[in-house]
Amino acid sequence: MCELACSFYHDRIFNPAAARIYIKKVEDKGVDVPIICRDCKNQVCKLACPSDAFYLSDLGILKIDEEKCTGCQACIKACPFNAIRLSPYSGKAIKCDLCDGTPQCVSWCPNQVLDYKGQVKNSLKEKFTEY
Amino acid sequence: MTSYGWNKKVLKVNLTTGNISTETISEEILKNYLGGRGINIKALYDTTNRNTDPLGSDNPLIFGTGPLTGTIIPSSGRHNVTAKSPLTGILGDSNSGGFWGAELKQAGYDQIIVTGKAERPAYLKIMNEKVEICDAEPLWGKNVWETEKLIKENLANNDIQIASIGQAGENLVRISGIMNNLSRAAGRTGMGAVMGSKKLKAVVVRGSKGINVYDVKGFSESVEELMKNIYSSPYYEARSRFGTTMLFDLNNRLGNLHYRNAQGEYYHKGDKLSAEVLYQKHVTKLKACFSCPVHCSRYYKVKSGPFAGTQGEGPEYETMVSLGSQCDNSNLESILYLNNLCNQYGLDTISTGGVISFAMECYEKGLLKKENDNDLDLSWGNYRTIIELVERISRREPLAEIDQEEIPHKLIQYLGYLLGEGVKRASKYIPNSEPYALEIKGMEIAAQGVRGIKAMGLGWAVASRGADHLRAFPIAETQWSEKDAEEVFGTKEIANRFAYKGKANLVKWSEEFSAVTDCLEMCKIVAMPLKLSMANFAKITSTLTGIKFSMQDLFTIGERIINLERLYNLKMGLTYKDDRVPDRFKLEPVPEGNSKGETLDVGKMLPEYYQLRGWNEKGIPSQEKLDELGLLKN
Repeated sequence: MCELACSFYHDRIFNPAAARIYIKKVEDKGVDVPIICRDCKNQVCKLACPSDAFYLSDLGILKIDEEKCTGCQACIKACPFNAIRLSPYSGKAIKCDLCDGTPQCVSWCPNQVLDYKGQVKNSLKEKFTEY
Repeated sequence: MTSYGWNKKVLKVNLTTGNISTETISEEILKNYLGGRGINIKALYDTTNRNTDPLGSDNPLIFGTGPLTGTIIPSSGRHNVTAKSPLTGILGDSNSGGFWGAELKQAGYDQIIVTGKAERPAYLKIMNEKVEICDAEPLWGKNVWETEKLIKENLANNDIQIASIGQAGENLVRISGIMNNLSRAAGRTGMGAVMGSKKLKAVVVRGSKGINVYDVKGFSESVEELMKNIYSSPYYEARSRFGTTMLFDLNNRLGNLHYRNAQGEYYHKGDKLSAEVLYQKHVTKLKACFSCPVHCSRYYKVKSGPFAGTQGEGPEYETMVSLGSQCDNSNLESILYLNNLCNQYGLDTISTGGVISFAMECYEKGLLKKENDNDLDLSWGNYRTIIELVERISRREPLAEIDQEEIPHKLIQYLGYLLGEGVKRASKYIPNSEPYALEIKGMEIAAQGVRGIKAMGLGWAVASRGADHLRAFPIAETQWSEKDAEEVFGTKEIANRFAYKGKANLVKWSEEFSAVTDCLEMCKIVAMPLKLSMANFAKITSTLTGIKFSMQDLFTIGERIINLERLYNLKMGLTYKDDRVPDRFKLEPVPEGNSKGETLDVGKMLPEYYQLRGWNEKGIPSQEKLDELGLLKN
């Protein structure tokens, strides 16, 4: 459902292949693993991009500038979490952009597996010093 | 031109010639038959006749999806498999969940029609427009789970969806099904044998085309409404935790649970197999089909005992009964093991339990006897024997010539072969066993104690694919309040499960509702039990496809399909005499439990049912009715 909600929000079509979240199913073990941008601090996708298409959005997550992206897939290869894929429609790289602050995958999940905490203001270090 | 909902495409594959083509499905067909079960019976009706050999090359094997399949509409990702049935010789049609149907839609097709026979084992690979017939020689002889694993490894793709047969289908066992996602089954009516007869091991699909929505705003509102209905249903919690196994306790309480081949309808050891026990002891995770918020399926792991290490998905209520109480088997872990075994070999668990409990009763009554010490011990509840029989049925060792005088002594050795033929054929070999062969139109009975639920009994008797609970699925009888029943049907007797009054009307209504559910490829567990209405269906289908369907339009489509299926079965040689239930349910009162003393007389409802349907007293649709539905008799 999260994949469908994602593709419908972004492209107005139901197509898991165009979703920015992906559920890896390990059927013979009965396990499902959601794969989505972890908003990691290494940002190898940004570093790998030859067109400088990645920028930090207001929500604090990296977004891809469609104008700048050439669809070269360098970021897709660089991401260790396989969280970026190529859109079958635009031919450009796509990743989670938090749906402008209302992540659809979170709202649709029947089991509240996913949660959105909003932007974390303080770093972990600051939090530790707070307590 | 953009298409909405449907892809309006059928993929046609001829395995004899290797010819592959794509054709457009006309809007006319889609408007009249909607999808899935509807477009499938239409295709089957037009291409087969009384002489078509179910296991011959001209019997088409048809896979169909619905307009909603592949979208976010809850529980709409199912598919129907249709062909002339090798088990019954009439309509063969079965329905499965999982992820396969949605993938087929994403690949750009609504339907696949496979004809001909491959010379050597083959599988069909569909990657959007790219369709190939591939070599399956190395897969032949492998079970379903091995097959899925090997294909995924060979194609280096974990995201493909696979519908395949196990050894049972390969060996043309008449109670074999077509499996997908390891444990989801299009089990009933022997579709696995049809696939096996074509030497087609698997249909592999991957798609990325997307499904368009016509009216985004109306559609979104309508989906929200559906979700709200589902989440607010009083049954949601139990359904989403225990799935269909919740019915085990319910039906045992009502006295509607088969015990020892339906000699009884109450299982005194039922608490050993209860939904709660299964959940607490073995369930590790809840599982869902494509786009379903109800996630009624469960993943289980057996941690200790003789079946330690057994893990898989399910089992459903029907399996708990057919391989459990119906065989007086109260060993829960053995049922989990058997569930896996049937899924791996590709057997219908309902019919498998049906044939085994038949054999056990024959043994009890002395119709089958042990000749040697190492012969099977068919005592009730002997799960080792049940396991052995499942394996023998799947292997289907050929029946050697038996001297008539040796019957019944030698029969027990050939049980694997005999039982794989279904109870109707098997009972022909075992003298005096007909009363214990519980079937309708050649198909083994499902798991409802119909003596204590009259509408369900009528539903079984008239179902177009033989003894089956899902064709009508008249659950209003046990789950609606008197107030709701009176509002919809004008009599509160509908909600009285022992009453005959009004039940013909309930069955007609439920059959049409269920036919539409099957055409939309929604799940029956979600649709009627969680109170989704025909108004919901009409709105969602209209906003998705851009074609206006009213509630009445949908009911008419349901009626059209019931009538076409009836015409098909009449064409195959069926008569009104086949609209019956096994004598046991008519003549033997329920011995104990909360349906004690009840019998089922379908004759009290059948004439009214025919009349409501616009059929004559011989169950033949009138010309007037056919004209009204735009159907032609031929």
